[in-house]
Amino acid sequence: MSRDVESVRGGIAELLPRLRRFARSLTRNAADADDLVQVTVERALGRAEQWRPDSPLVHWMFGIMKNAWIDESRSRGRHRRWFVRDVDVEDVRLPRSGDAGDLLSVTAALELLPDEQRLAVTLVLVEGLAYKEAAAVLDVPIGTLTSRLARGRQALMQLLGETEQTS
Amino acid sequence: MNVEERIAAYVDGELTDEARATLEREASIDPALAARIAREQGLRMRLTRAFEPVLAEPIPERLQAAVSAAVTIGEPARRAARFTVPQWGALAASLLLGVIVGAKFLGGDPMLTTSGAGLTAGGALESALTSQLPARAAGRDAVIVGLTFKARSGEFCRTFTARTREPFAGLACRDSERWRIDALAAMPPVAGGDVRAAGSALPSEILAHVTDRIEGEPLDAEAEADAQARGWRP
Repeated sequence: MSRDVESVRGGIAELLPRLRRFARSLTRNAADADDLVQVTVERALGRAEQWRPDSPLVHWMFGIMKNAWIDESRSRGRHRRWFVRDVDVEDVRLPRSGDAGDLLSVTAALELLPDEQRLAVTLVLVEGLAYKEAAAVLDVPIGTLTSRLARGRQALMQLLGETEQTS
Repeated sequence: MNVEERIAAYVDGELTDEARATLEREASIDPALAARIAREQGLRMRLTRAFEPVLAEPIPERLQAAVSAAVTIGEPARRAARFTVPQWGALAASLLLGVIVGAKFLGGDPMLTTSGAGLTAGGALESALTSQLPARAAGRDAVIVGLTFKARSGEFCRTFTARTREPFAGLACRDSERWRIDALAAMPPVAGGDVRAAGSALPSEILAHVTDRIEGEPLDAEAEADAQARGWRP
């Protein structure tokens, strides 16, 4: 096994909690999220030599996960579940937060965003990446990232009933 | 950048120091702008909080196996030690003094009092924390309560901004009989000296304390009214 693969492997082990969180914000439930993490880890190990140490490993992994997620959601259709199972239909229910009354929970609202906006919102607001870093993960110019982010924020505010009365 | 982009960049930590100071100054004299900033901060915090618990979950075996059986994976990442005592170290003594002195300028009882237990809320601050529900906050109130939430300790905590001559913001948590002040930060000075016009956007250091302690999401208006009706008892 080459040194590249071994150092990437060690790095990935430490990143699993963050990879799981990113996956959770993209998929509907924990099982699907872990499927996505697994695919991502396998792809990353298969091309470990492509990682450049000048960018953080986690950003490289997020990029791989983003592509894996897009591939899957395209091939299966936007509204179909990841890796369809026939049993756990219950999991598909949208999560609702206990204290938000009739309003959507923030996680349910996030699920309703178009993929592009969801990725931008997740990388910046959940994962805490800088604009420059998020743009690099998504492979888009910063201006594209910020406009997707703005539209995503606006949509979330509307879904959560937090828009200003005046605007 | 339009104002919406500036607010977003501010909340995301993407503004230069200068641009940040400019926006804070504007917010200090424009309550509507301050409210928009607070809403954006609230959204960011809700999202962060919603997914944070995933970090503490045990890693499923199949994922550990996918990485490789040969690599040892330690305990799942736990959150760093929880904040337990007020981090006064981060607050310059002179600033704290200025805030406490400034808090007396409105007249009446001082807003901050020291007791054996540390700093507690008094005067207008105490009454705002106890009785103010944001939907009913009047534009002219000296103290504006922001987010209300339940801390991991079970206590109810509320953030506030005080529009004194030297405006300040902070986090107060309710113990058995008083509002304990757990964090304080100075706000940008108010332009034109209008003490009533200071904004209510929370400084990021206060927000960081909130993120550190909150259990779940901030209370909505209904839950807040309910908690108040029960005397803020856990």
